[in-house]
Amino acid sequence: MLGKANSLHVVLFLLSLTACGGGIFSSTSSSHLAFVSLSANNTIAAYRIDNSTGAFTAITGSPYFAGNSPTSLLLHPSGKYLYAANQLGNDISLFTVDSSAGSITEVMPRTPAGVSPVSMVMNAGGSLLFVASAFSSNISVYSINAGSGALSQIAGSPFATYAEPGALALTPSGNFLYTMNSDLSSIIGFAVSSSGTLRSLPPLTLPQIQAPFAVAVDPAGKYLYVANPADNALSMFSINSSTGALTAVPQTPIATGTAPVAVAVQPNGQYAYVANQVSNNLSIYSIDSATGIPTQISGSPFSVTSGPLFLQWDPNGDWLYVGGQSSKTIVEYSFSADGTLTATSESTITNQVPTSMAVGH
Amino acid sequence: MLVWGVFATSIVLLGSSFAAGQQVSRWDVFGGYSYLRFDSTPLGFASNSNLAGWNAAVAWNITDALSVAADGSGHYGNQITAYNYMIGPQYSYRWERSRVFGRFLFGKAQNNLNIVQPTRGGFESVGRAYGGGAGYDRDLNSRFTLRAVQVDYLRTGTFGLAQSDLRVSAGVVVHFGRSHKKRRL
Repeated sequence: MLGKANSLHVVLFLLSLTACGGGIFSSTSSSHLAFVSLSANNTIAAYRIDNSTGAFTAITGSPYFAGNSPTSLLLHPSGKYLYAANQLGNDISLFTVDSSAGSITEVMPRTPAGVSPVSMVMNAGGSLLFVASAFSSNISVYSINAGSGALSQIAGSPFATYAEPGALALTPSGNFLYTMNSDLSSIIGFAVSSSGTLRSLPPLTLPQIQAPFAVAVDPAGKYLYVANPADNALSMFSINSSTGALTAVPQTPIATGTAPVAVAVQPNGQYAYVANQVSNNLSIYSIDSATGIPTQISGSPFSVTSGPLFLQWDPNGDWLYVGGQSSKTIVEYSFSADGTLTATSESTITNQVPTSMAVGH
Repeated sequence: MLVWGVFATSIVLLGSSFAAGQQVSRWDVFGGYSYLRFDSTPLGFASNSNLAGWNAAVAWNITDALSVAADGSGHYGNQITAYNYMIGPQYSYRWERSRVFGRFLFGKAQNNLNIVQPTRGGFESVGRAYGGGAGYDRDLNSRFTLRAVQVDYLRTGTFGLAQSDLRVSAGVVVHFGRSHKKRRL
């Protein structure tokens, strides 16, 4: 029989070996998935991003084949489905998301959309998808099957808008949808019924703005932000929660950098960030919670990667991802409570122009 | 450092205290169940993966202490299949009906990911593998020995990335051909 001393030695010996690989048993920190559309080569890149360190890990097999020029991406709130608007394919791709592996698999056939679908938004419950199609000048509305993610166009869809609608913004309540028309300098609003049907609100003409391009709503649904690259300005409007009517916030429009093409509000709603594509920086504004009046913070404008094209917050509001059109990278910046950003060492080179990004929880 | 200190101390203590008196077979053939903690996070997985499978090995006992071991294993999960084929020196300490062994192995790893795409059924990569481990055997009779536990730490390089895996196996060893006597210390 094995003596007590020898037994102890054997146990120590084997335990030491086990401990050598102890890191393997340790649980990994939580993470979230991110997907980036690479329209030029019809693919979608997938990454897992560590919540603690912000480190990017490319998913095996990424980038994945997608439709014809996937321009806009949206992730379903459940994290189970990814949607891509294929601008040249005139359709919507549905991908199932493998939350464990991080991979995506397209479910065929694709769902027809209008001509040149350019932007999408989804309601908070993940039951309705809104797609703006520029050349058919309409908005298609789809109900989403919670079990499969499949899209079904609702009765009455598509809904006509003015010519060439661009970006879309939906209030958190899901009651009001806004798009814009660059040629007419107009913001176009819709009241959204529970079934998804759209009813036009009176268009708001913006004499101060020549060509509104990007639009966003703050997390509380109080303000609408509109970036205008032709005027290098940011406009803000308070949203009437009952009617959806827009009222200009005092002291706006406010100056931005050169060619603001994207606007994103930090999840706490206190700061707004505008990507200036030509001046390669971000204009950062603190937002007065009572009046909505924006004030540019110290340190703004903040230099970022070359040719910032879109902005995307991580689900916790800890990092801001900036897609660089010229640099062909996604660069990560950490957020501080005073609204300032700090460049991190984390970024990923996409090798193609990233056109949009969807981030999961 | 503490871990390696314990490891080294254990080796010394084992070597200084074990004694034996039985014959040693020329060939040992092992087969059994195996568990692999696969380091899948570098591949983009949310967490490491638990895989189950088999482990088999053949050891040629050059002396009662020194052997050459050829080791193969296959582990399977919902989305990952991992094969490892390695060979290397193995050192044994024997006493009475027991034995502990340690070895260093190197060879190849083949990993398959079941990530189905419209254009392909999955992804496969073959890369280098090396590692080391140890185990404890208890003789059942002159022909069969119970391998109570075998623990291996494996470093593999597939998909252009490095993985650190932990493998735990148990099973039965069958002895063929007797050639050595266990040495007494």
